[in-house]
Amino acid sequence: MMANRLFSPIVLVALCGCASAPIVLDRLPETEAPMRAAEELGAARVPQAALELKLAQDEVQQAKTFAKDGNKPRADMLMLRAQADAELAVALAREAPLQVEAKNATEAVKLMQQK
Amino acid sequence: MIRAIRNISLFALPAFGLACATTDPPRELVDARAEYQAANNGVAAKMNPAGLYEAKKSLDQANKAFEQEPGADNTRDLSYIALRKVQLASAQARIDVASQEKTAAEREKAKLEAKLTQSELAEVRRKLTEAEEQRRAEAAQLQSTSQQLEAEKQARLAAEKKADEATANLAKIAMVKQEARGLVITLSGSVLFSSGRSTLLSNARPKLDEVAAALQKSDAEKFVVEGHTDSIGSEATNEDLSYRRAGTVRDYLIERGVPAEKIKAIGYGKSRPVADNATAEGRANNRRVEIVIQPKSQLTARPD
Repeated sequence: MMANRLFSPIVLVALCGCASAPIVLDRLPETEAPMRAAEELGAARVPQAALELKLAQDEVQQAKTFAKDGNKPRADMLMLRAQADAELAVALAREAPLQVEAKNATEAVKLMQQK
Repeated sequence: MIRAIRNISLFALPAFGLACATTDPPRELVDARAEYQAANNGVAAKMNPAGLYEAKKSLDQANKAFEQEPGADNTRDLSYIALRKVQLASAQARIDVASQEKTAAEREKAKLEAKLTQSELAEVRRKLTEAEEQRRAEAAQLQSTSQQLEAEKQARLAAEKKADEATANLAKIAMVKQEARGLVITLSGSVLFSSGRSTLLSNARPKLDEVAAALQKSDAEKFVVEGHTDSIGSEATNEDLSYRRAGTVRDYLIERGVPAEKIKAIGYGKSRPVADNATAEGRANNRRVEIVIQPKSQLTARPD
């Protein structure tokens, strides 16, 4: 009984605290997955992909700041921007080596046909 | 006229949400529309219609946002996302094309290799290595140029963002409206000066700093600082006071970085009231400093 009286204000404070807790970034997994994929595909070696990845990383950081300040609409929008940048980074990182491989194969065929 | 319209969009409309036909679409929306057109006429339409359809939906959303809130962050963000989705659709289409080309070439290569002698194959390999080295050098050059262009683009976007922020800040401290004579920023006389004096109050400086920041980001050719008084006192006294006050504001703005050759000061005294001088409130509204941003062709400032 005594314990209940002692703890009830603490519980109240904790509940009040929940109201101002930082906002959770709903889209974090959808954004972090392509960011990791872009890194693994070697986006750092493809300038345009590296730029898109950097933009995505910056936007996620900005979104986290807005979320911390309680501005959920702005944070959500920045996460959507980051996701779009990250997905483009993945595509560009995939495209660059594939273009080189296609060109090499085509060129090899041309040279062999001249023989 | 184009310059005048740009000025309007830079200052007044984003600040007050006064959507009208003259508001320019954000750069991201212009780019997204252009990229979509190009993608729709290019390889993406054939190779990746589903991706292009997703991009179109995103672009439609951005266009709708522009109709409803032309100057809002939301519109700019949706346009940015649409642009990226169009670019993604195009990139995926290019990936498919490259993949098909690679597969076809490798199949053909395997057939041809079987027909060539060892020395012929060695020569082909040597030539391929040379060609690859040349391509790598060309790509490095291209990347350097494209990085430079991208850096310039990012710098331009950052400058635009700063201009938007300056506009938003300006709207918090002054009234901004578009008139036939140009864009007018109105600051209350009581905010800037003590009664009868032309020395700036200390509280006025941060406000004028915001104005100076916004003016520096404007591409207008001329700014006119106009001093106005109420009807109390003689005409000569009021004209002198209004001129001195306009001059003080002009000098401060120059001190804060507004180019001196672009800015003039005029004292109109009590000749151009905006409210009834019979009431205290009306007189307070008439005691003001206006900064007019206008195209060169409309400039009517008297020489000072």
